[in-house]
Amino acid sequence: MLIPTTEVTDMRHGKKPRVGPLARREAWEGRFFVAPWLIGFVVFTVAPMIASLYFAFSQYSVLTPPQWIGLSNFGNMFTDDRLFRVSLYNTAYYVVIAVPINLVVAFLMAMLLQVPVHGINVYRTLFYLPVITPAVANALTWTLLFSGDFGIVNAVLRAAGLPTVNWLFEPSITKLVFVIIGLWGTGGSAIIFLAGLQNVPHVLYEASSIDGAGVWQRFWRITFPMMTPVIFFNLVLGIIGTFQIFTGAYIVTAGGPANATLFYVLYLYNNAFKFFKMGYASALAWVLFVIILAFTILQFRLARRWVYYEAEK
Amino acid sequence: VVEKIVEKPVEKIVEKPVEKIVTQQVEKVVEKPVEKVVTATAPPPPKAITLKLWDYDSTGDDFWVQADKNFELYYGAKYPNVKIERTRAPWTGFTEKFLTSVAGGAKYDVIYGWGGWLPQFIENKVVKPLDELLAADKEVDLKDFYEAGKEVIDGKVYGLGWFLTPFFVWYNKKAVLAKGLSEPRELDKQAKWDYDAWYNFAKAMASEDKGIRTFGFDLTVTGYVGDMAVMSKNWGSSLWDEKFTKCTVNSDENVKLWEFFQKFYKERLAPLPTEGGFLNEQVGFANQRIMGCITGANYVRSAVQQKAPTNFDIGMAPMPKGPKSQAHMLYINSFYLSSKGDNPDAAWTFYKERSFSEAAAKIFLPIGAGRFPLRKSVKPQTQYAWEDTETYDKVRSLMVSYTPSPKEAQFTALYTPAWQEMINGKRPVKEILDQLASEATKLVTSR
Repeated sequence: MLIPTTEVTDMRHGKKPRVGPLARREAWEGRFFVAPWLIGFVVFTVAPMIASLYFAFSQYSVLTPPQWIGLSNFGNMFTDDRLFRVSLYNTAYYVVIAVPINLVVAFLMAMLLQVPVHGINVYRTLFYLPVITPAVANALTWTLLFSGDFGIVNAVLRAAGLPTVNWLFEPSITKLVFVIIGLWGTGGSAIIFLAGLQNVPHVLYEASSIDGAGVWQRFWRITFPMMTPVIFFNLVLGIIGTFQIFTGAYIVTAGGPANATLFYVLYLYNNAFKFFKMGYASALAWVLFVIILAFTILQFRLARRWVYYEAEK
Repeated sequence: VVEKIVEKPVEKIVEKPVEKIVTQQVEKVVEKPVEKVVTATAPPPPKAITLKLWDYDSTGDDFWVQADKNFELYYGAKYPNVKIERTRAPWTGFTEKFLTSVAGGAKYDVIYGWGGWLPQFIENKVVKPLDELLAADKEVDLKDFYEAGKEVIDGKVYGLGWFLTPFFVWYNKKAVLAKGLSEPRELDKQAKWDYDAWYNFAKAMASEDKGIRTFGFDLTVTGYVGDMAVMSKNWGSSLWDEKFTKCTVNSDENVKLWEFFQKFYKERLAPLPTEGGFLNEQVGFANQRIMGCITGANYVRSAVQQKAPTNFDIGMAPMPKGPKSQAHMLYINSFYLSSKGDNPDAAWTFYKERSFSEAAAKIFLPIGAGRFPLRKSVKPQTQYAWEDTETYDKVRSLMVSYTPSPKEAQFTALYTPAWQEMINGKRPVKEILDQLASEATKLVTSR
């Protein structure tokens, strides 16, 4: 949005802002240009959120009018719904394992992609490609790779004389398969890390080299501290994203085997669109919103202890 | 099962046979005088009407696509003032798409359907019973209809199956004979085709060569609530009490039944759900990695259309006899009438033509319909050499339809993971079924 500079300047000096015709025009233009997004946000995000808050306290099938039932949906969820607990556990398990692994892999990938070798741009593009590949196509590909009998992964194991694994039908293993599948999309985080790495001033490395710092010291004393804001950014987005894992589980396993990959949003979706319990699904959505919000606030609090912002010093 | 077929459309269909078969069907139906072919002779509605049909999307199944076109030709010739406007949806997500579409304000006159979805459609008041229409229509003689072909919920008829198919046992005849075994068909004639014989068949037919497993029998069928209900009946039990107030899936008989199936998986006689299935292109029946399966005749026509008979002969037998009976699950696909449609009269006329006219039975024969016509007065048909008409006749008296529970979608969502646990064998079957029974009962009593 365009902000009239005169207004800012005047307010800084405690005077009543004097807004000229040009500034007023710019302000209106700003509002005009931001309006499509704002309208979209209100109509497609804010309004549904408010409606879903009402539905969360209702019995609602979408096809019949909602009936107010107070806190019943939440009561059932916390006291009587085994699958709610199962889906929450599955999701938490996935978040705890997938997020750190994704961060580490993405960081390492970014460091590799920073090495000035011939054709580096091609490598960067290739690593980013999975991020823009359609999620459904990805999911189907992974299904074929991990299929029990004719999957490529088992074919390789068989060829190597190793025992095969029921990747998608062994509950303790299937969740880990999703962690592996999750790595497929680390190119997105890697690109952000790469941008961060390229912003670390070279003068710091040069100075430290002169002082006799080795590779490891340069990494821990310079690269890592300078990258903490980017790590923090990817961590926050990573946790928000992994809490909402859906497409892969919906297509590859449909929540199976034995509910091992019944992740929270998949369970929410089932309630909303398979059972048409939209009220209950709305309640589930709000609980997830609160959980993610709590985690995000917690991360921001903890960030003060480990994230280094150069500008603040 | 129709649903299984449509989820995995046959891709490798030879084009020439399609043209030949389809042309023959069109010639048979369209060239004949309409009056001689059709039983329903309602006068066409007076004004131009657009009939809105929520239909199954048969894209990828050339036989089905062509049959739909042929029916439109036939119907258009008879009712020139009625334009059929189809909205098509794939089988996966069919109900989700339909119900959200209705919630969004869309209106349909006729809806394609399957019995397992009906409770949800009724609960959301999107379909209406046919009883009044059937009683008022003098052209319809309900006594002519097979009871098993009616979809009845709470005493009301909601659907009259246009596509009926009981389940049969299909096996690789060539491989069975090569092993010197008795065919299930012959065992049945000798009244020896029971569950023990079934297990022995699977065990004898399973083999492994250099790490590549050939499975004795595919048990995909056990993953479906309706099939298990009928097999439970054959073992002297049921999944629910009569009023659907208590789930009895944990009865002693059902526990024994599940333990029986568990043996197949423990001994690797049946493929895991993620390893293949009778329709699978890598590990399936047509490519001889699975020696036997249970499904409807519609599947085997797919196998035939995949050129399977060039590889082996298909054997056909009734379901094995359980300790109590030999009932056969009858799968039905029906159309339902919308409770919110704009053209109720035209919808009913279409319904009759599409569901139980002789013309429809002939037109849809290439996709497996017509073998078990809904009306007793319409002659059953066969199309392929492997079709055992004796078995068809025997099963005709054994077929039973499945009445879904009031919360079928949710019950299925509970059943599937329990079934997967049974296959994994980490918990005792009794414990799994006790939990399933408890949660399913809660489901129907808390509505």
